[in-house]
Amino acid sequence: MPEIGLRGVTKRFEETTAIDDVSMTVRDREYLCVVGPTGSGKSTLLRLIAGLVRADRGSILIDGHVVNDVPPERRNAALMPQNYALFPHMTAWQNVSYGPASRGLDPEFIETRTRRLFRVVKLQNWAKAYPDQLSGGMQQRVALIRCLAGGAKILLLDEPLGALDARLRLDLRRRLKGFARRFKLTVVHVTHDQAEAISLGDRVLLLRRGRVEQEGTPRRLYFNPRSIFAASFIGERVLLEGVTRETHEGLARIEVSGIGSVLAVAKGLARGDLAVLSVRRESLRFAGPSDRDMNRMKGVVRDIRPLGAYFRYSIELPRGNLVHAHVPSSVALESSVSQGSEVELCFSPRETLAYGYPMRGLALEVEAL
Amino acid sequence: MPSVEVRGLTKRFGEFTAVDNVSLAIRGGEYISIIGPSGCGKTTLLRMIAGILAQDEGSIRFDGELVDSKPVEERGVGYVFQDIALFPHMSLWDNVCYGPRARGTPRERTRAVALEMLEMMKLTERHRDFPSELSGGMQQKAAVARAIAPGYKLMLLDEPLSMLDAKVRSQLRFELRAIVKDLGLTAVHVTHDQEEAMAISDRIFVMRKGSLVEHGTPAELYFRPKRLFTAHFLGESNVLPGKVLRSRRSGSEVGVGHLQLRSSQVDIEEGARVAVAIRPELIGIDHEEGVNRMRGEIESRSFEGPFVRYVLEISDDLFLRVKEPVQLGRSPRKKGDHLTLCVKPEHVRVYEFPSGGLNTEIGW
Repeated sequence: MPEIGLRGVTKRFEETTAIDDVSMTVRDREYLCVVGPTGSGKSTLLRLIAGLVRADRGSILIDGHVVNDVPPERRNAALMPQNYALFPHMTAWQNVSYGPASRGLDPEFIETRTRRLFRVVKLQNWAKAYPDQLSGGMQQRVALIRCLAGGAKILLLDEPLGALDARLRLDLRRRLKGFARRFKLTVVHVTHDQAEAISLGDRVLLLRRGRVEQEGTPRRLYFNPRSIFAASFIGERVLLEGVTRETHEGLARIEVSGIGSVLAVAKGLARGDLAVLSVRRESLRFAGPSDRDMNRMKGVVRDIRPLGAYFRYSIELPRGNLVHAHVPSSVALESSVSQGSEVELCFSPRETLAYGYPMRGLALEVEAL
Repeated sequence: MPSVEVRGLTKRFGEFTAVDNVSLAIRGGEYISIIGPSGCGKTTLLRMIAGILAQDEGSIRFDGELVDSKPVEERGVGYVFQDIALFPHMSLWDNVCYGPRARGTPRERTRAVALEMLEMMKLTERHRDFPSELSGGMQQKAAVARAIAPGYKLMLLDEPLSMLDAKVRSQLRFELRAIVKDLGLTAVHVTHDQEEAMAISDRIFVMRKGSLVEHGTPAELYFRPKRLFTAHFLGESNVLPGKVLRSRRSGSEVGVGHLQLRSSQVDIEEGARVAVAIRPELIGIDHEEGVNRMRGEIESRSFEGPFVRYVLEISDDLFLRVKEPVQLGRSPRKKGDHLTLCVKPEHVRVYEFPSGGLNTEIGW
């Protein structure tokens, strides 16, 4: 069973600890997305699993066996690096079959498997083309099947869509997942793009400075980020600062200057504590007469920009700070709110999350992105 | 803030025509972006405007004045590259002062400009740092500051944000627009990222295979694209083959599979073969009232953060992608659920059926 396990794995490069005591499991046929800012250790994690770097501490398990001393080619895992390069002087077919052939695998097996791989990515008519005759998306597909030609059941992807056009990236996202299912692969996919991780992963693991900040289903990370860092990294949110006035059964009443009293879901906050509130931008709505038991804030619309599926309204609060609300286009197109309008926004207490004010200051905590 | 006028610009590389007879006019103070798939000629066009590359045909004017014979250093443009090109051995301060010093700007003036730039980029405190000590986002802002510092009023930006983390990128695009607007610059920004183009620009020019497809404000291009290619490339659309059943002054009726859809579009010929484009997020789910009602069964669904995306089977050969704003607490719709959908006639966009077939038209 192609399962992956890490038990207390640490990897240092001179002064920096790239991976710091990480434990995690990837189940058979699971699609795990690892996400985090630049320098959070994502690529190192992948290279540890692939066997390209050695762990300083801890153990790495594949199929239940410790593989710390097993060389990369015998780990049943194939890594597609960020800057995969196809051999320019070889055809697509040769690029894919070269590796297994040079390792002396049975030619008939190679032939059958290569043919099947080309068929699955719908490139059977392009097998004889050279890389420079293929589009970026086609090259990427060839690189992908090249990884799998040796029969590996674990696929390790390092920013596989990073080099592609935004539009193509969206299309390939969906195909990638279908491809993994079809070949019954266990996948670890590294990306800096939280939207990609959320929409692709069966599970998402958020890394920060070499440690696991949070892991869980996409919905869990999206709706219940456990820290202010996770909240500001996953999704797009409004952050507000305030003082805790009272707490009751997981809810807190927080006083925000210029807005007033706001009810929020809170853990570990006590009366008098400084707090940071996080509200998803798309959960802000223009208040209507029927909205009850909602948090509210008033402001003036300074800018409206259509961004496709939603509009971004920039609203200046009484204290002069700007918040951005994301309103679905279907709603925004019917709305009479315009630049200069005075508006009242409402948002549900259940969608307002409160965290303790970070020790090193909010800017540093969030800008460490 | 100079205006830019490009007329009949063409550039060939051997047999390949990278830019094919492109004309466009940019007003002074406008922020425009040029988008299109890889290889559409957008960067080549930008380089010709900068003077880095000479055109084979056509002319370029800044403020009405022909600049064709001027080399890049005399055109007075700030150019920002995709890969951040700060001088690694110079501090941030020296990087920003480099341009003004090279042009012999007096010391006091150079100092004042550099201070203003760094202040604007919120990088004043980091002025002694070397590029390697700054984050990617800070470096790219510094690169913009350096490009503007000599006092140029025309900014040309070639994929300036594409090397940055997604999160940084989506914050920086709004900052970049604010800076350009505050300084009263004219900006031409090349990108492959449609959302970036919508966020940052006053107008967008869409290119494909060396030619301009169409241009307009982000809202015009997104909600009322004149060309099928734009409907498909900017954001996403369900693109379905159909036939015009009735055409009236008030609108038209189009047959798509077994459905009859009302469109507010006029002036299309009855009986014509057409392509119909509908955006997934403009399809309503389970509204009490609504036109263009249809029933569908959820074939698959995926969570995408702000939206949940469904593929719905309307009939054996008709599938629709639908995006619904996510709502916490409501029990999620499941595979196999039956839904009633509706679409407003203004969101049913009708296009002449492409002569080369749908795949040729909207593929790239």
